[in-house]
Amino acid sequence: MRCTWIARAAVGLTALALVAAGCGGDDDSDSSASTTAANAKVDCPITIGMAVAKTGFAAPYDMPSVTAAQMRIDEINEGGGLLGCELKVVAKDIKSDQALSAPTATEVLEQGANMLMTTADYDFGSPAAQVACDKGVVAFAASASSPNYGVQGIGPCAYTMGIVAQVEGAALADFAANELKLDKAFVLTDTSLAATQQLAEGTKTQIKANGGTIAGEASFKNNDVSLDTVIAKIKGSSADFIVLASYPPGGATAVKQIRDAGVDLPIVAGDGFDGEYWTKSTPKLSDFYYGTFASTFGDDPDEKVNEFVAKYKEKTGEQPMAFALAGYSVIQAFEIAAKRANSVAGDAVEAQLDTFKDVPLLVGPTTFTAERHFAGNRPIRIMQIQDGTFSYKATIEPGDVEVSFGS
Amino acid sequence: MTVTAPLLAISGSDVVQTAVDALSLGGLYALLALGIALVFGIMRLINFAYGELIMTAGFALVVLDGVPLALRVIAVVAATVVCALLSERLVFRPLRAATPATLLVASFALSYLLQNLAAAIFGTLPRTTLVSDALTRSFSVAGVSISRLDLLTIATTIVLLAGLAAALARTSIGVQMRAAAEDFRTARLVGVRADMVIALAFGLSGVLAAVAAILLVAKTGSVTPTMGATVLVYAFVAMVIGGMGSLTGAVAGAFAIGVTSVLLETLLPSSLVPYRDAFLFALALVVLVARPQGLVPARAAATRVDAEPAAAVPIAGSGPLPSSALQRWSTLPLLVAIVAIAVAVFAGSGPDSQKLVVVTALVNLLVVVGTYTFVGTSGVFSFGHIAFMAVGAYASAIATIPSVRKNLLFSSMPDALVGLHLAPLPAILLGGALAAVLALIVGAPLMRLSGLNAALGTFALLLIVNSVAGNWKQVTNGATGLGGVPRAVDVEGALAAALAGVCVAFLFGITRTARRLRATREDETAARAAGISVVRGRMVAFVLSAFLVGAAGGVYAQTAGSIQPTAFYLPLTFLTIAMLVVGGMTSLSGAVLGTLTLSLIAEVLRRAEDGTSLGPVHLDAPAGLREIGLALVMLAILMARPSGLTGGRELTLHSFAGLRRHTRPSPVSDATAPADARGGHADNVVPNKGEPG
Repeated sequence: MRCTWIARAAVGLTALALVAAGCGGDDDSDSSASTTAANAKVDCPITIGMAVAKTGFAAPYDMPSVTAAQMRIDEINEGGGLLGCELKVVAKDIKSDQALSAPTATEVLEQGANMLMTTADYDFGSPAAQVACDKGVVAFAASASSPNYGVQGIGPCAYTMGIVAQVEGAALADFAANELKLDKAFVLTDTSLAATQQLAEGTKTQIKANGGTIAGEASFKNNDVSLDTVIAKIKGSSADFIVLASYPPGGATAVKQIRDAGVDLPIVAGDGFDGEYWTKSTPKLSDFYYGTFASTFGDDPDEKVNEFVAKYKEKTGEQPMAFALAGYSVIQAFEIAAKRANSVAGDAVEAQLDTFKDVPLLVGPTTFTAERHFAGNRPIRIMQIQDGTFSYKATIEPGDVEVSFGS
Repeated sequence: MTVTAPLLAISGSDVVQTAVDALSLGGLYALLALGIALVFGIMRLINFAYGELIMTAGFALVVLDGVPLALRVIAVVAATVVCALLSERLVFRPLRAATPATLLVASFALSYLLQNLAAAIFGTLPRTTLVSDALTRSFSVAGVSISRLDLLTIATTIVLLAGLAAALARTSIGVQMRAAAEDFRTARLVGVRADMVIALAFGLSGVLAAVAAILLVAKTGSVTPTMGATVLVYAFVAMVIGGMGSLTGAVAGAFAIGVTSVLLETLLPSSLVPYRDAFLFALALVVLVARPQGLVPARAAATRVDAEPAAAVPIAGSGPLPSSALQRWSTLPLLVAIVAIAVAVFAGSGPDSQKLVVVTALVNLLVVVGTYTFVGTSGVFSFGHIAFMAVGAYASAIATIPSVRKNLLFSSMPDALVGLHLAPLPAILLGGALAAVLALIVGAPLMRLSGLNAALGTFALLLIVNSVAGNWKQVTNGATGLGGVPRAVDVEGALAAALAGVCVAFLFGITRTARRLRATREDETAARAAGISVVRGRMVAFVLSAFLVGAAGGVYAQTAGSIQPTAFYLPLTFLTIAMLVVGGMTSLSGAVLGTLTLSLIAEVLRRAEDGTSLGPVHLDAPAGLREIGLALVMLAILMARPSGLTGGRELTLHSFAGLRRHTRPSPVSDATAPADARGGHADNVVPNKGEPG
């Protein structure tokens, strides 16, 4: 009769459910087979878990860190492993989908992960990190810029290697005042992300503290087509430089339209602008400065960074973005803390991480405390773009920046 | 370089500057809106995949970076037109006889497919390119800075609009296109070649998309897989307020949107500028309510909008009702059993990760069932239900996050909200109740509008709520959202909520109000003549359905642990609408089976994709298999079953009794299959669910 089809669909659906459930069963058997005791405290191999964005819009920001982390893992394995154990990687894709963050992390932990690297963003990484905390496993974000990725916003198991947006904002203000000798800022804030708003806040606070003035302010959204109105406001202000708290593509659009409109004021910006990919629309860009972890253009003051960049290029054929360094340093930090603790248990590793005092990681000297699970005082590199060419410009030591966890 | 601060707040040159800025933005939106309006006018298709034509043109520009400009433009236009024609031939032509809802979801699926294909091919890192150095420079006239590109954009809009209008008025094929737009059936009877006319409309929309994209990329310099979708929202609203399907209206609406947007940016106090879009779309909503026919109504708009879909609808749920009360009531236990068994099989003994995936599916089920309560019963589409979900989620999150945590993380939250603390269930009900109140407020004007306009009004609601959620720091914590929500709802809780939703939807379905509302769905004029109040019925269903979806938001917040405004926007809107339409929009069984089917397929594909990347990290793992596969499956189901898996009928004991008999699956579709037999062909491709894979 007429409803036969529905019934068939129901039967088919059940079959499909059984197939899918079968897949889940396989995962179980995988994880139980792989543990062998090799050391009094640690089961080998040690599993590095990753619940990261391999696809989707967050992938370009996660994958360089994943590649760099893998480079450090390979180095550790070539050098005889960690605590006598080989490191093994279980990496799964959260597809830049918040709803998949926690399930993916759970899957990775079910395969025996001893630490978890999440997507490098508080919004997308925190559900995964929360799962790790619940299971007593330490969680890292390579380059999350929110201080909430830590004790306050997730729990004591979560750490970020990132540059905290408010701290970076303050460093940009210091750079403008001390190196560029500019003190009248036009602050242009992209309201589509919390991080860009925090960067703008940090900059404004520090500019005022340095005795400068905010000559004008405006906001826009990353997907805005036209910044004509904003540019009119910039032209109408007495600003002698622009703070651009944004990231590509919208940030690149802003830079292009500002320069197309004939506004040549120096622009200072955050680490969202790292990498050459976004400057093709403004080929001869000049007087643009941004803060980041390090220069990946071969001219970083730290030779170790330049060596890393050369190796990364050799491995992938591409120049890394600077936040790749943070992925490498996540593994370094875990390695150092686990060695000191002689354990990979979450609480033991955490106790060691909390005593980190200027530990020389690839991203720079890194300090954590029981309250601050981000490196708030790590020096920040300022890069310069002149005639379309990127080069290292300066290093700024951030002072004691007050970091707020609220909105 | 810079001008010193003017003494007067607004000088004469400022006014001229603002006018130039407003016109150029309006011109760009106009070019975007023209292409959508053209296809809607001919085919009644709201083509959400139009944004991906723009994206295609964008990536073509990137690939052809360095090629001489003239050659580059020609190649980009050609590539985009080919893409437009292919989309018509492969997707929309086979679905021509389907309902507007099916066409709409097909366009969602195509859009999703193309975005993910682009991401797989080009990656998701934004690409930048310079279209023309000479074009982007600006010159100054009496203190007013004018960009050559802005002038070109305005000129191009005028030329293309005039050219289109002249072609439609003067040429033979133009007359045929207009005839098809006025009355498609009659036009075919008098010898208008439908395939050619529609293909031509798509081809022209491809040209418009390419031209718009070239000007857009010349202005922004950036190309991403989602670039089309983000600008399409404005163009779409422009077409709505301009008058659906009217070319002049689309242009007028686009200029109205561009000018209003620039004025809001200029005149709003800086603390309110981030809410620009909320104001913009609220104004659009006011225009829609005050002037439902649009600023420049399309000719014969009234007959087109109502008559054409009605003619195509009868497939949906109009089959004979189940004969006995037993049959009718058997639907509820059957659906409950199917959901419970699916959950038991999938999450019963599985690891925690599997349970989390099941919880997500159950939340979606509650959303889809809630949406069905209004959409399925009234036949009026809604793009706005995810806004209700957002309201419920935020309410439930604020009510359950411990006060200590609120004090630490959300320092600017009002004390009354910081002090608020509810148990999980009351918080979910509060979320539902607030969503219902919002539905009552916006429903009062919207439910009086025609079905299509009401649907478009709900779209504006979604955009407004998204803008408010993304900016209202004191309450929603802006873009960061609210974290630290106690995760009080587990699989059992989510299952209970979803089943409760199914029960409420079923019980509502057998009330007198719902029966009368279904009558208005089938034939509004006849139902009105019989004394049925369309507005009242729609209101009841709208509010109840908002309650269910709001409650689903509450459940979501308490399963996810944190919520962000981006979670409640177009992607989830499209996904849940797709689940409903794929299942069969006019039956509760359709809502349930559609959700279960798409959730399962998505999960199976994700696992398949994952299997290839186990062990050491593969940087080049096949990206986006789940997304691309899901889109293809959706399109395949829609083509095979344009009225959904259930054909809009309820699952009853009868359905299972019929399992042993051997009959043709879809007699109703046969009755309405078009003469050219393409629809008939599609009927033979019923997916055999007994043999997955």
